Amino acid sequence: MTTEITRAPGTPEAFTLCLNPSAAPQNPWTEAQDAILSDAGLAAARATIGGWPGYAPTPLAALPGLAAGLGVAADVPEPGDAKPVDFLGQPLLLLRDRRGVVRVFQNTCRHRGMILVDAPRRIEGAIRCPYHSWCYATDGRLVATPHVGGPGQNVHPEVDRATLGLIEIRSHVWRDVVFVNLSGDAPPFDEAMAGAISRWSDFDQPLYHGGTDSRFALDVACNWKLAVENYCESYHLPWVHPGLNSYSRLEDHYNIEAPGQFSGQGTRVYRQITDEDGAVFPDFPGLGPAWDQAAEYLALYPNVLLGVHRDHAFAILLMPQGPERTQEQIHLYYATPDTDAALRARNTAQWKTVFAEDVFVVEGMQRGRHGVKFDGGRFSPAMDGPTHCFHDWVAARLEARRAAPRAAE
Amino acid sequence: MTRADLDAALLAAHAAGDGAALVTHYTTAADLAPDAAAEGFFLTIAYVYALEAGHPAAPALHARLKAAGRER
Repeated sequence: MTTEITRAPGTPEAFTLCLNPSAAPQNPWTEAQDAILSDAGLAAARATIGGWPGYAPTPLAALPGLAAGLGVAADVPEPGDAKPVDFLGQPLLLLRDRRGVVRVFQNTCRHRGMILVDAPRRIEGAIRCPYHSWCYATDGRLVATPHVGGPGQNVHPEVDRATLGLIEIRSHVWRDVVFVNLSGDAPPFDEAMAGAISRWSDFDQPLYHGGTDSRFALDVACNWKLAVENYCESYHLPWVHPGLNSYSRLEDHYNIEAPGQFSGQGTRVYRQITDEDGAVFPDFPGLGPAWDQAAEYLALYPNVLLGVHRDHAFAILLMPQGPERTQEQIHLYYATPDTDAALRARNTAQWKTVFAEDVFVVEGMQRGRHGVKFDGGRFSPAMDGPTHCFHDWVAARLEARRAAPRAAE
Repeated sequence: MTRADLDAALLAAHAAGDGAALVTHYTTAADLAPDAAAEGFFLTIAYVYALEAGHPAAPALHARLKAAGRER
């Protein structure tokens, strides 16, 4: 342990520097330290921190009635495939059961709370807890409790397997995205997202993940909400994606706003990607001429960004990694399972370029919004509607959350 | 197979994460057990690894445990 203290630049000479005499590890725990760590002390600290300028609680974790994107069903393509996902600090397990049903469980053994699956893998038979080997079927049933009644005695009247299955998290798959509702009280997905489902009913048909060449991730230094903000609107396109200007002008885009559900933008001049010989991807069948040159991009609140085109689609999951860190997980889909690999690679590269062009924007907004005199900015009534729509949704959620404890009092 | 051979085979199977071998060797350990308690102990472990691996021996091991009053 160092015993030297250096004076930080700018520290007045009159300011006495000394070691905290209580800081030696061998010294007893003091009453003051106890007070700081008491319930009252921690509550006071929370209140103080909550009063800091710019402080906002992370709204995603505890908000009720929320269906958030956790992953894609293509992450678990075969029965028994399991993928652990840490989602907002919650250990979850995305799994395809023996019958092919995609399920989400809390990745926690009902015995001692051990993590069950710590890396993506195929469950050949049962999920065995690595600690005391309690075993679960892929549908969550607790099927073995070895030695629970003593050595070689695998049952005990006090351990009712029927009540100790894995905790299943409410989930729903739409457009291959696995949505979860941690609080369990969200309205049915088909009801909550009726607007988006109806809007894209033409695309309600099988879609095929392009495979390993059609998925990539971008780690960005920003809050997840800034990625939503940027995705929603077309206002930034001429400046951030100048490559679009030759064929897709600002006036070719339109805003999409469904308050409380989603927002985004569309274009009327979508141009299919081609290879050197002019070959294109096959279209989704039966779309009709309206989609020949149209494409739409929706942000499904909170964290799922979707895009549809006549010949491919994509899903982006914004996975919060911390208040100022987000992983964008991108998946590309096609109308048939056997598309050309070279063309897929070209399409992946194109989208990677586009999404990478947005990184400096979302990271720049994150840095810029630390400015203590930033007052929230000004929305363009003409151009920022979709982002405003998202802000309105976040604000309503926060207000509802803050009001809930008061209503209960 | 001597007890020492069996111990070595079990350790090797654990080190390799070889589920099928674990089922085989723990079943052997159960068969060679000197008493019912030891048999139940090894049989339980064989059954657990059979469940984990989706091994075809799992139903028979379960039936054996159930017949001994060690499983439901």
